[in-house]
Amino acid sequence: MHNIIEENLKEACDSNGLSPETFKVIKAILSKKINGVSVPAEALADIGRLFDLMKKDRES
Amino acid sequence: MKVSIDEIETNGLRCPDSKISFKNRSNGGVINLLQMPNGTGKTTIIKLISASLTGAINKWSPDEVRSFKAKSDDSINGEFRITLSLETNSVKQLTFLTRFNFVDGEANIYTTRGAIGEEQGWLPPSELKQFFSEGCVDVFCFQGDKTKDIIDESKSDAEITIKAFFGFDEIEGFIGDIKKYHRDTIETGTPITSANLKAKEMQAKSWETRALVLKEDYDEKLLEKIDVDKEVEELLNSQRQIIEALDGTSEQETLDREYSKRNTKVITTANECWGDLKNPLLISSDLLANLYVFRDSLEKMKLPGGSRSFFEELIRENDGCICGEELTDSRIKHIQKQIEQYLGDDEANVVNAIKNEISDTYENLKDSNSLGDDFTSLNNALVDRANAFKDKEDYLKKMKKLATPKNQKIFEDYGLVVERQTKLNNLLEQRVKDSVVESSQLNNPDSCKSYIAAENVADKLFEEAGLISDKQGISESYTILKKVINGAKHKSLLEIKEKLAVKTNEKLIESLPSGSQIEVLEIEQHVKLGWNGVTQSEGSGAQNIIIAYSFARSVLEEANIEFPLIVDHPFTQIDRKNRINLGSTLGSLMHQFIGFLIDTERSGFLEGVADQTDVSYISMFSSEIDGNKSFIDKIETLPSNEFLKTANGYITYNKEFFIENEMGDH
Repeated sequence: MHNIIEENLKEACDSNGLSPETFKVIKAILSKKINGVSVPAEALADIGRLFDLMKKDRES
Repeated sequence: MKVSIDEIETNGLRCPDSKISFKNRSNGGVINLLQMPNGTGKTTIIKLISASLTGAINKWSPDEVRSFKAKSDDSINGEFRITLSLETNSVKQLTFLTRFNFVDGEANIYTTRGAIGEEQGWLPPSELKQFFSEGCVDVFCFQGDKTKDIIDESKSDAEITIKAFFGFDEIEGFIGDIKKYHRDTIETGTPITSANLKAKEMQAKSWETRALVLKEDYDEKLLEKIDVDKEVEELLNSQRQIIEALDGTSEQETLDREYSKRNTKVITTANECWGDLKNPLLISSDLLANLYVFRDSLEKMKLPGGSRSFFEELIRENDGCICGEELTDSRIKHIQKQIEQYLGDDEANVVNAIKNEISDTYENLKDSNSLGDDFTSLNNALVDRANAFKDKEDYLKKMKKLATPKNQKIFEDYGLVVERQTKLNNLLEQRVKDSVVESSQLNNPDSCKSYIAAENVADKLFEEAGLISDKQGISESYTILKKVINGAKHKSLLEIKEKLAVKTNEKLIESLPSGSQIEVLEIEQHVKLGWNGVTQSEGSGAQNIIIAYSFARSVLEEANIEFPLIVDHPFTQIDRKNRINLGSTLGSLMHQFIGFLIDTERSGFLEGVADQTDVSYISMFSSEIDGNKSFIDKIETLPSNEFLKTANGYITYNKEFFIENEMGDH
C-alpha cells in the first residue's frame, strides 16, 4: 500500500474515532486486496472481525 | 522490482514465425529497435504482449482468437510465448505461453514461474498481479497513438492509470465488499420499531436491481463504444488519406488545429464562468453593497476590543479598582457580570479581520464586471468555435465533392458513425451521472437513468432499513467505515496526482530542450498541460511523446516498479531535429526500450541513438511477400550465423543490415 494512502487512512480512522487495532485490520484487508492475495472466504471473515472491532470502538 | 522482456516467440500467427531476443541490462538503459515492413505483424505482436501480461486473452471471443491466424497458413494451431525476467535481489524468469486453436476459436494461457513447471492458466506472481492489469500495462505498452490519450481532456487514461497502479481499484472493491456484507446482514435483521422494515428493504432492493440493470447497460455500451471509436478512427484516417491525395495535408491540419484551439478556449472560459458563478458577491451587486453597509455598522459600534482582558487582569492582580476603591467580592462579581458584554482580544481581532476583509473585497469588486466579462468571452469563444467548425465542415464538403463516388461513401459513413459516437457518449455520461434522486421519485426507480445515482439510493435505503432493525449497530459502523475509506481514498488520489505532476515536470526538464514552454499544470482525469498557469490542449508531437514517457516513468517510479517501455511507431509525429534529441536521451529514460518502427521514423532518430553503445538493431520480415524479395536477397548474403530463417520469415540482429535496409510500405 502506498504510504500516502496509509497515512490518510490512519488519519481518517483517528478522526472518526476508530481505534489503532481497527486501523490495522482495515490496512491488512486492503493490503491483501492490493497485493492480489485476498481469498473471498477469508475476506468475509476479516470484514466480520472488522465490524466486531468497530462495535467495540463505538461502545468504548 | 525490475521487469524486462527477454524473449518473444511466435508460431502460426499473423506475423512471421520467429524468436526475438531483446537486450536487457541490469544497470542503465538499453534500446531495442525492431523494424518490420508494414503489414508484417507489428500490431499483432504488441497486442499479444499486452494481452499476455494482462491475461486478457482469457476473455477473447472465438472471432478475436481466429483474427490472429496466419493468413497464408493452413495450420490450425498457433503459439505465442513471452519470457520475462523479474529482478529484485535475484533474477527469476516468468513465461506466459498462449496456445491457439483456430478451429474452435480457443486460446489458453500457460504460466511457468521459476522452478515451478508449466501450469495451466494466467498465474502471475502475487507481487506483480496488481501491475498486470490493463490500466497498468497500457502505461508502458503503447499501442497505436496512445501517447496522446493521457493528455486528451475527453479521456480519463491518466486517472485510470493512477488508480490501477496505486491500488484504488482494489479500494473500490473493498467498499463493494463491505457494502455487500452490510446488505446481507441487514436482510437477516428484525424490526425494533413499528416501522415497516420489509417495505424499506424491498424499496432498497428495487433500487439495487435498477442499479444493476443500468450498470449492465453501461458495460454493454462501453464495449460498443470501443468498436465505434475504432470505426471513427479508421474512417477518419481513410478520410484524411483521401484529402491528402486530393489537396495535401496543410489546410486540413490548419483547420483541425484551429478548431482544437477554439475548443480549448471554450473549455477554459466556461471554467472561468463556473468559478465566478460560485462567488455570490460577483452575482449580486446588492449583496456586495449591503455587506459594506454591515461593515460600516460594525465600525460605528466602536466595539470595545481589549476591554475584557483589561478587567480580567484587574481582578487577577486584585490591587484595587481603577476608581481607587478596594475590590470587594461584590464589586468583583459586578465587574465579571459586566465584562461578559465586552469582546476579548481574540474576538476583537476576528471582528477587525472581518471588517478588513469586507473592505478589501468591496474595493476589489465594486467596479468589477467580471461575470459579465466572462460571459461575453464565453459567448465569443462559442461563436469562434462554431465558425471554426463550419470552416472544417465546408472544407470537408468541398473535398467530398472532389472525391470519387467510392470515397464519397467514406465521408458519409464517417458522418454517420460520428453521430452514433456522440449519442453513445451522451448515454454513457447519463449512466454515470452522480445526480440527486428526489424523494418524490423514490417509488419509481425506473425514472432513474444513472446507475451511480440508483446505487446511492439503494445504499441509503439499506442504511435506513438497518437503523430500524436490530442490526442498527452494523449500519452505524458501515456508515462510518464508508466515510473513512472514501475520505482516505479521495484525499490520497489528489495527493498522489499532485506528487506525480511535480515528478513529471522534473522529468520534462531533464528530457525537453531547455527553454521549452510546456509543463504539467495539474493532473485531473487527464494530464492538463500549459505554461505559467495558461492551459493548452497539447504540445508538439515530440513534446506529447516526452510528456507521455515522463508521466509513465513518474508513475512507475512512485509505484516502485520498473517495466520496459514498448512503443508502436514511437517517432511518427516528430520532426527530424526532435528525433535526434529523443534518440540521444532515450537510453536514460527506461532500463529497456522496445520500439517497433518503420522507415519514415528513422531519419534523425538513428543519428540520435548512434552514440549510444547499448542498442540492438533487429530486422524482421516475411518471406511470403513479394515486396520483400530485395531484403531476402540481401540477408542471404550475410554469414549464416548472422540471421535466422524460419518457415515464413527472416530475422537478423545485424546493425549494418538494419541501417542499409529501410522497411515501411511495400
